[in-house]
Parts: sequence; structure tokens; C-alpha cells
Amino acid sequence: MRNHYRTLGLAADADRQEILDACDDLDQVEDEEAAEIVSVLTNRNRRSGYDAMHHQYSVLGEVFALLEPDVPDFDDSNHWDRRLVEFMPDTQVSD
Amino acid sequence: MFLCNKPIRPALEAARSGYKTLKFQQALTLIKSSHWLTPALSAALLAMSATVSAQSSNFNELPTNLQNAIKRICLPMQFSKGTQAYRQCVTEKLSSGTNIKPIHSDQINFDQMFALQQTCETRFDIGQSDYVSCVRDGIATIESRELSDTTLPVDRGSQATDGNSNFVRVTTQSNIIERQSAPSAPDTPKLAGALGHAEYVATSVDAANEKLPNTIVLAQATTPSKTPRVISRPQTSSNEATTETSPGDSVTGSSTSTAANSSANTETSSETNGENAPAQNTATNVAAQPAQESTGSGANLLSEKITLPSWVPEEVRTPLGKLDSNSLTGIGLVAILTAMLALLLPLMVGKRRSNSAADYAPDTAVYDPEKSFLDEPQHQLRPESQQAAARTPTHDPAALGSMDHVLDDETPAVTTTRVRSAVQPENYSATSSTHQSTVSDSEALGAEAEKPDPARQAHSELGQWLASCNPDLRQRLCIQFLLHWINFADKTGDKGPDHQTIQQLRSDMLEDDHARIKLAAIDDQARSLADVLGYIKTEFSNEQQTQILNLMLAVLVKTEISPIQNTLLRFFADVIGIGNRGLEARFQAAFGYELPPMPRPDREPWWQKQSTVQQPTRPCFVGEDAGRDQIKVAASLARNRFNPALFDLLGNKEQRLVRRHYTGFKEQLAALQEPEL
Repeated sequence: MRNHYRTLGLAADADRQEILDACDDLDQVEDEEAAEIVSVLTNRNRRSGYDAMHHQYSVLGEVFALLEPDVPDFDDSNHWDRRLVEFMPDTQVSD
Repeated sequence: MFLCNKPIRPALEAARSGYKTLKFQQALTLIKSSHWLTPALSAALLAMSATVSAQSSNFNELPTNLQNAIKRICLPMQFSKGTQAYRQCVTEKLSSGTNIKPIHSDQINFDQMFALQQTCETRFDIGQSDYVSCVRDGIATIESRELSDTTLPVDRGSQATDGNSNFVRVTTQSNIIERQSAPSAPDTPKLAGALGHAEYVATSVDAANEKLPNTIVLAQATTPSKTPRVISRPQTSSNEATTETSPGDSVTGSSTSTAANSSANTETSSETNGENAPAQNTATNVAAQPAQESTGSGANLLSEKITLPSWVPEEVRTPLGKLDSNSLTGIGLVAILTAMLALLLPLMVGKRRSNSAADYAPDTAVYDPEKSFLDEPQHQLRPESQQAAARTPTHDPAALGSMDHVLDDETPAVTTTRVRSAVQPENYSATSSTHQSTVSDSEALGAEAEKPDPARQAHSELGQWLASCNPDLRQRLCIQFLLHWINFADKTGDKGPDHQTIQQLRSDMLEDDHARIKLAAIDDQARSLADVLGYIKTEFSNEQQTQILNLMLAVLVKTEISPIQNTLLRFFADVIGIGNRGLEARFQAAFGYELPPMPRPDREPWWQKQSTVQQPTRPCFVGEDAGRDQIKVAASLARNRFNPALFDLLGNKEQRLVRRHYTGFKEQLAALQEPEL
């Protein structure tokens, strides 16, 4: 999953205007991706759902980092390393 | 009144005239055919017939037919051994006159008698009692057909009395009964089709020391205009030999042909017929075969009247006629194979259905975790000896005749299995006890569990506290944490718990372990979860880890799995090592529909799909307008989902939780079912 807040350089509690302004300032983000971020984060329902998932991904990213030594037979059928890469503690934008 | 009816008239006339040559067997046949005859008259007639053998020792004083009988026996000896032998033969027959039964030649022509004698001669020496019995049997068979319009029982009691040998096989062709004009039996067309163009006379009697109750005599004309008959005999003597005749199947319309399986005796008979009966349009063919004792109980399958439909295969039809031990064994074998096939077919179908989650059908959902996941060796829950108990009960919606059955069902007995250490021998064998056992939670939850690895550092306060707990309690609290974690994440979404709730939990946690768990699941999710998962991986067996997933599916998912649940359960499934495949198969079996793909709320297309695509009806869901079939399917899925076998390695507390949810679901179904009651 993409960490849109990380891409925009915003906190998870940023308001709608901040999100729009951040999207306008994105130079290296393609238009299509920017449009997708706007469509998700500027819609109230979608943002609520995204934020809930974002929170859990943040938790999972941290857990994944902490758990690695204890899970020798981890079945990474969902490619969590890639899904969580943007939510790992060392890469996560601090709120 | 009835005494004047046709069937009884010959018997009465014979009795009135003191006809000494009336054979006992014929009399008995007549009596049996005259079912109107009073018992007293029957007894009198039988007594009279029984004394007709007290004949004169003077050959010339014997009745003509008896003289002919002796001549037929002894004349061949004169031809082969000379006059002296002939005289000796006659003398012997006169001295043993009681053993010589006169032959009623009025109803049997020369060719018939000659054929019978030829046949019997090939089997026994002339003059022996067996030979006489053989001839008499054949005569009786022919006569019985002469006397009967329809099915006529053939009495062979006298034959048995005389100690008949192991032989009766008489086959005659159409010319024997050509002059008969009796109406056909109702089932003769079937016989004609089944037996082909041949006369088929078969009699079966008891094998040695084995009572075979029926005798079957099937007669069929060789031409369509002839009347085939079914002549049956209900009972025979226990000492009587097995008899059989069945060239009919092999004789394909040729009046002179012999059975394919006939012995050399049959061939001799056929040749003899051709030489000695040229005047006959069709030769008489009397085939004889060695008697074969019927040893199979399959003879009991035979009825007095055997009507063989055309579809009966040759392998079955022929043995029915032959009635030998081999054929009876064949019949039994066919029956056994058919029964085995009938038993194995449902099992084969059921196995195929349970082998793959893709074969899942909501209306026939059977949750069979062992079979469904046997392709994952690490998830073979227990040895084969334990699987049967763990798998039961299986539920088939088709077997649920009504919802009453479902709703009245008590929650299946829960078995409690002692929790084992995560480090288990490969040949681990679970020890199950009943739910009513005195095994406490502490005992059940890892009394044998290992101490947590001291080298592993706890990441959270919860982890540190759990490390100090009793292993039993630690395991139970770990499960509680997982349930609270997913439940809380799904309910609160992006909003964290309110401050007041956190403060309340903090105040309670010192006295309430449960409050501590809830607080950790809310306030310190990531690090607490990492510690809990660490304990799960190190202190629970693989089977227990899988059952924890079963527990979360059963008590957390309510018909529709949320995106958060979907994500977290996938993560947990990967942690415990069963991956997407194991989770999806379990979900399919538990809820009757496919687990939705990994949610992607960061993507516009995913949101569009959520809003525009109508979600399919969930089989596990029962709304107020649910029909009876829907309720059945949902009930079956619920029974699969809450199957105690899926949680038997967990503690009593978890099992009680499952039962509580199952009871709630049943109450919901009962409320829906009530209007129909």
C-alpha cells in the first residue's frame, strides 16, 4: 500500500486544503498518481477508510520490523516487505 | 362343486378305478395341482397311490407300462451282454419291484422316453436306482408340463424319498411339448426373450446337506408359437441332488444343437437323437451334466418363478439357470461388488469435494480442515487416529431435513485437549478428553509450555508483564490480545480510543488482567502486538496457531469481512505460516464465499469497485427475508465455522466463547424460522 501522507510530506491528520496544496507542489509525482491521491484523501469516506488502513499498516510496519527475528517460518505470501516498506519505522514520516 | 373342475378330474378318476399304475409322483402332482381337493381326499389318494407298487412278481401280470419299463432297462443288456443278462435283469427288477415305478407311457412318447434313457444311461449304470430316479425325474418333468395349463409345481418328493443321486438335468426341445396347447404364462414373453429359442428346463434341489428351497423349471418352446412355461417347485429334499439344465442360452434356435458347455455326454445324446429319431422334425436333445453341488447361499436369491428381463446380462442370467456353486458365487460376487460400489461412490465424491476449496459449493458445505489442508504438511493437525474425532461432526446441508434439526441440535460436544509445548515431537499425538473433564484453563493452557526465551527482549510493557505470568495465563492472554487488537482496529478505524477510556483501563489494569490486555491493544498496539506474536510463535504449536486463526474467523467476522480484518488476518496467517492459501480455504469453508482480495484503499480503482460493484449475496448471511434454503445453508456454514474440532487445542475459555457465538447464531436462526413453525 502506498503511504500517501509520506509522499505528500504531511501528517496523517492534515486537512483537505493541505492535501490539495501538497499535491500541487509535487514535482516528481506523476499526474495520475497525484489525481489518485486527491481522489482518495479529499473524499471523506475514502479518507476515513484509508486512514484506518494507514494506521494499521503503520502498526504492521513496526511489528514487521520487530518480529523478524522471531518468525523464522514467516510465509510472506502477501509480500509484506514491499507492502510495508513505506510504513517501516525508519522510513516513516514522523507525525 | 369345485370337485368337478378339470384339474381334479383325472385324480378322481384314477382313484375311483383303482388304477394301480398311477404313479405316486403323478398322483401327488395331481393333488397339488388340485388345490380344491379336501385334505381327507388327498390323504386317501396318496395312500392308494403309495400301494400301487405292491405288484405281482409275475412279469406278465405287471401292467403293460411297467413291463415296458423293465424291458427298456433290460433289453439293452440283452443286446450287449446276452439273453442271460437280460433275464437276470428282469428277475432283479421283479424282485425289487417296489423300487420300480411304472412309467406312465400314455403321456410320453417313445422318443421322449428314449432320450431320457439315453441321457440317464450316460450318467448311471442301467438298473441302478439312480438311473431309475433319473428317468423318472425326466418323466415327471415332462408330465408335469402335460398336466398343467399354467405354472405347475413339480413334486419331487418321491425322488427324494428314493434317495435320488446328484443328478437332474433334462432338456427337451419343442417337439416334446409341441402337442401342448396350454395357454402361456403371463411372464413367458420375458422368458422367451431371456432364454432364446430353446426349451429350458432347470431344476435345482438341495445340495448335499444344504437345503436350497426352490426348484425352477423353465420351459420354452423353440418356436414363437410354442408356449414356454415356468414350472416351479417350492421345496425339495435335503438329500436330493443338485439338478440343472441350461443349454438354452447356448442353443441358438437350432433344434439339434447342443449346449456349448455340454459335456461329451451331451454330444452322444445329440448323435443318438439324430440316428434313432429321424422321423422327428426336430430331434430330441437331452443333455446331461454332472451334478454340481450348490454350496453358495446365493441360491436363496432364487424365487419360485424366475423371470429374467432382457436386460439381465449373460453373466447373471446363465448362472441363474445353472445354479451351480460357481454361478452362485458369481451372483454373490456381483451383489457384493454392487454394494461396495454403492458405498464407495459417495465417499469418492465427498473426498473429491473436500480436496479443494475451489470445489466448495455453499449448499453442500462440509468443513473438513484436515482434508482441505492436507497438501500443507505443516498443518496436518494430528495423527490419523486423532483426525476422526477432531473432524466430527461433519455437516451436510442436504442432510438437514429441516431447520428444526439444526436448531434443536445441541452444541456439539467440545473436546478439550491438553496444550502442548510449541516444541513437540514429530509424532505428536493429542490427548483428548471430554469437555466435562476437570481440566482447568491453567492446565489446558500450556502447563507443559516452555518458559519464554529470556534472550528475547520484550518490546512493550505488556510483553514484560506477560513474561512474568504463568505460561497458562500468558497463552490465554495472548489470544485475548489478538481478538481485542483486530476488534479494536476494525471498530475505531482511524480514531483512537478516547482519553477517558484509556484512563479507565489504566486504573483497572492493576486488578484486571483483561483491562491490561485491552489497554495494550488500544494504546500500544505495535510493540504489544510484536511481543504477543512472538509468544504465539514460540509457545504455541502450529496446530494451536491455526486454531487461533479459526477462532478469530469464527468470533470476529460477521458475515462480511471488513478491509481491516482482511488485512490483519492475512498478516496473521503469514505469521503463523499458512499464508493466503490456508486463510482463503478456511474462509471459504466458514462463510461460503471467497475471501476478497487484499484491500487497497490507497487506490482509486479499489474505491470505485467498492461503490459501484454490487456485492454478492453472502451465503452465511441470513436476513429477515431469508428463505428456507438460505437458512439451511447459513446454518450449515455456521456449524462448520463453530465446529468444536477447530478449537479443541485451545483452552476452555476460548471454547466457551465459540459456543456462546454459536448459540447466538442459532437463536438468530430460530427467530427467523419461527414464523414458519
